[in-house]
Amino acid sequence: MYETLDTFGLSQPQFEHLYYVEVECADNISVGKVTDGWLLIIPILGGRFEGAKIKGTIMPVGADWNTMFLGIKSRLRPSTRYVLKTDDGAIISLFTEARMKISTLKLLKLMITRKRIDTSKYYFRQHLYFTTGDSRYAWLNTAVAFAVIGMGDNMKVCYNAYMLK
Amino acid sequence: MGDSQRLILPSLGFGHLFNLECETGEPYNAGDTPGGLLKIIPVLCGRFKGERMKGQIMRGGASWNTTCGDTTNINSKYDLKMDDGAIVSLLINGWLIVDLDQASETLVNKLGEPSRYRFNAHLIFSAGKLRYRWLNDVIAFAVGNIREDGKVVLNAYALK
Repeated sequence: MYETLDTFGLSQPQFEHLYYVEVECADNISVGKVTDGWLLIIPILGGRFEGAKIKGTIMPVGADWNTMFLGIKSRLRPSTRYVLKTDDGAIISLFTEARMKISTLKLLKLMITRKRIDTSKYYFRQHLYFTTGDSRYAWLNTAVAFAVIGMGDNMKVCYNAYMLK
Repeated sequence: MGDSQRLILPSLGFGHLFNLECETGEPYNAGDTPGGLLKIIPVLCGRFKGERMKGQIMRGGASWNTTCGDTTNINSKYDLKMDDGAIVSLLINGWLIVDLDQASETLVNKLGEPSRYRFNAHLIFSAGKLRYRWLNDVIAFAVGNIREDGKVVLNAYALK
């Protein structure tokens, strides 16, 4: 019976690039072992994002709540809230939910001590949820968006954001 | 921030997870809530199939659809039962896409019940059985349609 489960005439997903961003982070705050893992909070200091339709700065507010499940293969669940301000003055609130897998604990420790790791050594992707009251960017409120993330030098979080068309 | 200084990131890629179809029941109308007009649509049954998993959608899930102006948010919870008996919870969070030629239809029908709509959604899986735990650690999404008879069809993918 499964053979009839086709693509229902739905087209292949298509993505549009939104922006490239670099986010600067402060030293992490360790909350310690909580019920579902080890919790690190990483404050966000600022940054810059640039894309064809949207560009601006990251405001110095917000943080990453990062729950870590440490083991032979470590898994992390970073979740952030922070604020984008476009060059034309719009304020956009951003909530993200990420998944990260890294092949060894040693690499994770290197990353946390602010060393750059080859981006092929880990999987770091995220869901993006935008909220804004600015009518020029209202289209972001209903955007289903994602990011491919890499860690730059000094724990700088770099990613390309894309939205489903 | 010149292109040359940017961190080299993997390109965006995705792999197919499964195709899914789901029959829904009569909606419960919660009326005009602070977030918009809320309709709760029960899941009756359904099925899904992909290379790494296939099975049935259990009765008991539902979708909370909120319509505010010309936007409709879809927030659903499905219980997937794999062919080997494993249960995996699926959260679907997305938006209906109102194409321009459908906009007038939406405005006429304030309950947001146009016959056929395309949607994009975030997918979040929760799996306990070892065989499906990899689903906990992927960023996944779906493109879908809500059909005239209330049937939901979608294709699910995970970012590579």
